[in-house]
Amino acid sequence: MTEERSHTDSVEDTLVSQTYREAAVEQVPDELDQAVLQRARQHSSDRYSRSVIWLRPMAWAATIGLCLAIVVEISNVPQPTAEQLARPAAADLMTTGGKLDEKAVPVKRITGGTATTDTNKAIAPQRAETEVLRQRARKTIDDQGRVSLQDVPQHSKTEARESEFVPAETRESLESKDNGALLAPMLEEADRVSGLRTITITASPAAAAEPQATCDVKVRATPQTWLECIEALEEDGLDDVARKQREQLQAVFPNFDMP
Amino acid sequence: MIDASVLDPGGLALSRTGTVAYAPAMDSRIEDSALMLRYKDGDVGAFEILYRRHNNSLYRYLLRLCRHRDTAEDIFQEVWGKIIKARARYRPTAKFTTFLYRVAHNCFIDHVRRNQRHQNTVDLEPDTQRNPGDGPEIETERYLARRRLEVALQDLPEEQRDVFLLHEEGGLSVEQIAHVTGAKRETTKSRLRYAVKKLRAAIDEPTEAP
Repeated sequence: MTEERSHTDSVEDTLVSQTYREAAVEQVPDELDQAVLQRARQHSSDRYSRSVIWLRPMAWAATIGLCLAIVVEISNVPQPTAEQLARPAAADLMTTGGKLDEKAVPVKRITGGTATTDTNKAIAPQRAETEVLRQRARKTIDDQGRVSLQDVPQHSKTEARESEFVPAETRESLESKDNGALLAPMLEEADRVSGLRTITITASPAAAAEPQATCDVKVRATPQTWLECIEALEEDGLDDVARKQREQLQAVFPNFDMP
Repeated sequence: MIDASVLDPGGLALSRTGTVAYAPAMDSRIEDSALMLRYKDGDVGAFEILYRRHNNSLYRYLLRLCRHRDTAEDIFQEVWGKIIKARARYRPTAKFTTFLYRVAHNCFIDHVRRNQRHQNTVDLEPDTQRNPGDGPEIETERYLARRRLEVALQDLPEEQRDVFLLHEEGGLSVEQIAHVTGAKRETTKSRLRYAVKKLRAAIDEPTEAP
């Protein structure tokens, strides 16, 4: 007998309780036991089944959705090589701190050439184009940080026609801003557009030969090295370029005794 | 939401650790409330343990309260069905036995209100307990005492019989019985005292010569 009952129930009668316990010996019928337990099992399994009904489709939907998201994300990643190739040119322009003239801005690279979906085929010409543009930018910047038009070779007819595809707002922006730092984003944008379009660039032979047909700023630091560069141009058959370089050398170093 | 604290606001039942003299044998290793919570989480085995602890006591309580076997079995199933359905809302804020017998008491009240079927009597045959060590005279005397107690129990007013059965079968204290029945503690205690007094008088009644 518990302590609780002993102190709260002064009406306790041991004989009555004992006699009752001797009399009350009925047991629950087995079929009743089974019915209740079966009901308990059924309700428990029903609850489990309900949860399974919701959980499995949700799990599958979540898995499929995750896979689709990954696929879409991967397919939307921009082609890295095109941008990575284009950025050094813009970075070089920014580091020079020079001012660019309108014609020296390398934004005329969006060409009307044959479009292709083959990225590898498109990257090679773009890389060459980028290098050409970088060389052009270097050539056109003088010692004072000013950019001259004389050194920039004439564009081929194809390039001139291609320049018509440059957006007007881009041209205006380039005309109004002569700061290289401000120009860099625009160049990057132009590079990005060209990279995304994956257009095959058909560079002219003259443009391809230009990297060797120039005298960069370092060479033009002294009249001797500049002259050597001019002579090298003449040996390569680039007489027009050499002539312009001579004229410029004469203007920069008027006291230099040029042969 | 089933809140067992309503049934046992004082929380006295929770502090109870021992077993009652005639209460069902309790497995102290796992509390009833813990078993109920495990069943709430889907453990059917826990419910089976819980059911085995209380099934016979509840059955005898209803059998003597209803005084009709079929009615008692119907209510018995109804009670356990409600326990099963209420498992998701069960909160162990009071003793499970208090909760169980409260549900049983209410089911019985509802049944009484629906019909008067429980008024029929049932022959409970209380002569199944035999002690082989007792002599024939003692055995006969005990048999007759049990018969007189059964008759007296069935003759008790329903409220007194209910209190007595909750006390004996449910192992509930006066305060817990008061919570189950919704009566005041003193009223409950008075009913239990009257019930025990009448039953004792029936047991002590001199045996008439056969």
